[in-house]
Amino acid sequence: MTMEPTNTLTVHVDQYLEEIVPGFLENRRRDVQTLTTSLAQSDLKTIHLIGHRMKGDGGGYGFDAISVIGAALEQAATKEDRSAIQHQIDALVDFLARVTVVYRG
Amino acid sequence: MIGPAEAGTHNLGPGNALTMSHNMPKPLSLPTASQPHQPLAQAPPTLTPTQGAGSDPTPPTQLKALHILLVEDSPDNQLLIRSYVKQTPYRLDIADQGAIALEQFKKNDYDLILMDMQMPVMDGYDTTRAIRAWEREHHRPPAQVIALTALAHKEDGGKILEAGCNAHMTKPIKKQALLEILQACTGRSTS
Repeated sequence: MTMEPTNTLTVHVDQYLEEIVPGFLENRRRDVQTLTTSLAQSDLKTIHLIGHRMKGDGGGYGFDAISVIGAALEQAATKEDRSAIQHQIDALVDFLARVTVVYRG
Repeated sequence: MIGPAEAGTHNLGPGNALTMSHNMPKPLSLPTASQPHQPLAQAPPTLTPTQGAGSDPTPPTQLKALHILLVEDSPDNQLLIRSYVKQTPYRLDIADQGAIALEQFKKNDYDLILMDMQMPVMDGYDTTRAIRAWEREHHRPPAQVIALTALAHKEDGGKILEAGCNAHMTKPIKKQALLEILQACTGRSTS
């Protein structure tokens, strides 16, 4: 996926989190795969769990958008709304493609 | 769609609301605790840290080395909380399941428990009830249990307090909010 520079999302994160932020984002990329597979298999329980964790974890790392997507995923899984789940997976993919982290001391 | 540039980690909003039990055995002395005696039928009081957004809390030099048990099933949140207390004297143990937490609690003398309420298998409610039952059975003074949850409705707050938790922090947990609460607990644990 080719992204234009103007589409970059810059997130300012405190320096002390530099060691763990890359792993956090990598785990969200894995979540994309798991969510896609789970949706194909109608495994809403797994989607609900991933959404719940994203909601609870994202903002602590400085990624409020991930918490928002997680909350929407959790709600969509509860409502068994497959379209909304796919929409949030797309939103997560978009965010991960555009995010640039700048650490601040 | 995703919004514009994200905020950093010190934006203190409703995500760090702290609610407290009206019947806490030894109430925490929190920085902005102005209404600590609301009845459970009402919405629990919402307390926010005193420092402004963007300021990194400096750990006080006289902190007691609290022994803390974090009960949390999310590996990412485990890492995050561990990083929050890295530069403090606090000792942090982690249990990723309620049953494991209960066993660790029986074997250690924890000053404070940070309890995720929504976990698979044995959730935070059942774990807290089991801890309280064990304390009563063994005539142990009640440890402070702070519920960590994304729940925000007042009925959820009542359920949390009825399970035996002393206070409630909403996720995502921010560093400044957590350190201020731990500092408040430090003062309490030495009394």
